[in-house]
Amino acid sequence: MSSLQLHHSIYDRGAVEQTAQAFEDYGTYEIHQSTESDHLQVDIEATDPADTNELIGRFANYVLSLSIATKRSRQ
Amino acid sequence: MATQKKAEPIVLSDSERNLVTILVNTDVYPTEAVYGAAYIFIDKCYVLLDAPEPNRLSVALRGQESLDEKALDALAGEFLNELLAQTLREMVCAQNRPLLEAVVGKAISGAMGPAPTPEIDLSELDALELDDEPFEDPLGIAMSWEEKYGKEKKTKKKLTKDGAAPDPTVSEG
Repeated sequence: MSSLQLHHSIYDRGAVEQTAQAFEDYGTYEIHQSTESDHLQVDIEATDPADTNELIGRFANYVLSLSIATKRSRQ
Repeated sequence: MATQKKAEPIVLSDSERNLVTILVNTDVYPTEAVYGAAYIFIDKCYVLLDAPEPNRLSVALRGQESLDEKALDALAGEFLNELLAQTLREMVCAQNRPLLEAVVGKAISGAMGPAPTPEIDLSELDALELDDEPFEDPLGIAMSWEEKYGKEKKTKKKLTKDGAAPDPTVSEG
C-alpha cells in the first residue's frame, strides 16, 4: 500500500473525497487526518499493483486540479 | 562578507525517483502563481504540492515517463519560467483589477438591457371626471386664424370696391 500526504492548506478535503470517488474503479482509498502533521493522508491500493505509481500520480493531478478550481471559485 | 537572504527557488533533482522538487518562497512568488504554474504542468507530469514550512511551498514534479537528470533540470527550468510568467500575470491583474471590474460591470449591465422604469401610480386619474362633450369656446380660442379672420378680410376689400356693406349670409367659394 502507498500513501499520499496532502497538506490541508493546499488540498480541499471535498476534492480528495471526490477524486477517490472518480478513481474507484482503479483502486481502494482510505482518507484520514494525519496525527503528526497538517496533512490528509490517502492510503492507496491499486487494483493492479503494477499501476500503483501511475495511479498515485494521476490521483495527485486530479485532486490538485479540483482543489485549485475550488479555491478559485471561492474567491 | 555580508550574508544574503536566498529568495530564489531551490531545485533538487532525483533521477532515481524520476522526480524534481522545487522549493518556492511565497514572499517572492505568490501562492496563486504557484497554483497557476502547477495547473499548467498537470498535462506534462505528475504534480504534488506541499507546504513544508511557513512562506514556503514545495512543488514535486514527477515524469510520466522515465526522465534523465538533464530532462528533469529542463522540466524544472520550464516550471520556473512559467512561475515567473504567472507571477507577472498576477501583478498585472492586481494593478488593473479596478479597471477590469468596471469594464466587466459595464458590459454585464449593458447586456441586461435598459433599467426598468419606475412604476407610476395612475389611480388618481380614475378619480377625475372626464366627459366626452366638447368644451365651450365663447372667445373662439380653439378656432384657426383662417376660420376667424380669413373671410372677413375679403369682405372688407369688397366693401371698399363697391362702397356698400356685403351680405354676411352670402359665402364666397
